[in-house]
Amino acid sequence: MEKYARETNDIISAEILSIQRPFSLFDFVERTFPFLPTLMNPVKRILSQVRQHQGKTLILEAIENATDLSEENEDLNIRLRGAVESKSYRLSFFKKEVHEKQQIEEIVADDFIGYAIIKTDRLPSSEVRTRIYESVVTPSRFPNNFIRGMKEWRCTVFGNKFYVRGYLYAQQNNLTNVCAHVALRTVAANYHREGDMSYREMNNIVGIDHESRKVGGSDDGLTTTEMVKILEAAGAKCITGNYFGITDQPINFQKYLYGSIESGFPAIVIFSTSDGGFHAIPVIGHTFNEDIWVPKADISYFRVGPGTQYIPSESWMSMFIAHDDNWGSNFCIPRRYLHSKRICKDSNPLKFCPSEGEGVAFVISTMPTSLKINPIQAEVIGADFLFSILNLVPNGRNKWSDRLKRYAKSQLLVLRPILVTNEKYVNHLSEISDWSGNKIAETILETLKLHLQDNEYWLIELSVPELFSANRRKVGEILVRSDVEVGTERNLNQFVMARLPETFVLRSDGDSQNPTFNLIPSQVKDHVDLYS
Amino acid sequence: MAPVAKLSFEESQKALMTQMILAANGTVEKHEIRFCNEDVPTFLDALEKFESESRKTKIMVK
Repeated sequence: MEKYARETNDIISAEILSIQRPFSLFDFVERTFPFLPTLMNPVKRILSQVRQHQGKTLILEAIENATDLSEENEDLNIRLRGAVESKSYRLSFFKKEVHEKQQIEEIVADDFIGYAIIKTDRLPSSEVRTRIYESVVTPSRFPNNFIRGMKEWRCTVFGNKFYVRGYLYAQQNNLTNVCAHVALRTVAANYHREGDMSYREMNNIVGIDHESRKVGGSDDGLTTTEMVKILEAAGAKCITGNYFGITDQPINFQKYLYGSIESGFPAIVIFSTSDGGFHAIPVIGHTFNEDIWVPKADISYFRVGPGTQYIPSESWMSMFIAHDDNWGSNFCIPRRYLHSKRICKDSNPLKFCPSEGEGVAFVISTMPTSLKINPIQAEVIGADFLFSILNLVPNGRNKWSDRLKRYAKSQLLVLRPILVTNEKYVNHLSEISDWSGNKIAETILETLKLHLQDNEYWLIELSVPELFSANRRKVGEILVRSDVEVGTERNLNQFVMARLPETFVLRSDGDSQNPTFNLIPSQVKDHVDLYS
Repeated sequence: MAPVAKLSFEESQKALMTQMILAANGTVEKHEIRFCNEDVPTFLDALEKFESESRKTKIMVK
């Protein structure tokens, strides 16, 4: 038996549908899955994305015999103390027109848009519930969408293997799993040794046996501490931010989410709902709007302290890209639509009311366990070094260094943290050139290849607003170690190197109170492309 | 061939600096830096407290 429904070869029946106009996908859904709600129906969202991709063929297979489906049915039987009858369908979507089974073999990889497993359960009470058990659909390739860290998912259609890149979306059954489970599944897949984490494994970790402790309906869900425990068991390191009933947070929740997703590590946002509950959704990417006006407003400054303020790069992010198990996959959620504080309805004078309903209550960002420094820590450590190192460059030597100092004084420098390997960093340096076309010398690149330790580093890119947003270029960067714990005191061992116009900066000697740095000449005189 | 011992971070940084100076083939300047303020250590301390307190928070999600 195949482990996953997406890969099973046990097909009860199959149908090849040409879905080009005038075929109606609405009619198809309502005819094939009559137990799905007419409104608030994520299957329609999935199919809308298929239309966006110019899908021409839908293959509908009734499937059986997959370990993941059997496991869920066993758990449902325990939970409901009776036998659940289940039917499952695999829907796969193609850009190419297909009429016969044999033509599937001619389909090339790029023609596969994705798949959805739809499961219908007839409960012992005779109630019928249909939901998307899982789905992966290629995100639309809008030029401003950035979804990093997507996994490749293997799907079988008529015995042929197809692959789709994306983040897995799933809906809860509200009996053996809830929204917290499905959000965790999306995130855990990036860390789990098997590339996917089953609901049973999650439940075992936190003692949900469907008898002494149940989830769904009027029973439990998962607590935030349990969610962290499950993700850590999957192999992730979690960074948490509680925004519920807290008025004095050092940073906003968007920064946790952005720091995670920008380096390809999915995150989870939990918000309170109008019925007094809490709902979790996985956040997988973001959009970038180069013409956004917000960075010029006070709200976009990141204030580390009275003398250290700058504009974080997430100021140009206008939307989070997320799944919502109630609505479907790959949605853009306006950044300013999610908020952690609301004005209390009846307060006089007006005041923020953090416990008011429908606000962001909690965030969980993730990263690999090998990293000791999270993206926020990396960014401020980078700022600490950069703001001090900038002063080393004598005035009048380079106009871009002078400009950087003026922007720094006005708290208008832009910083962007992103995780890189030594290899990727050196490769990036080999590709960039300044506005006049000057490149970094081969001898320098060779030296970096040989002597920069094999590791992952936080690359903190330095720019100014107009250059960063419109041209996606930067003036310099700093490399910070990711494998050193953040202590309570400044640690010079976190600094690896920095690059400014015409200058590389490396630490020479001196103690932590009076460190000395070497300024080494570089051929690159001004701005270069951002790392991408 | 004898196995090459892995250099410590400090050793590899020293080697990197020496070789970068040679490769750059130009004038190298040495400067002492003074950190502008204690904003970052103070912030990191507050951030650590916020994150560890957050880990203790139990919100039921369903």
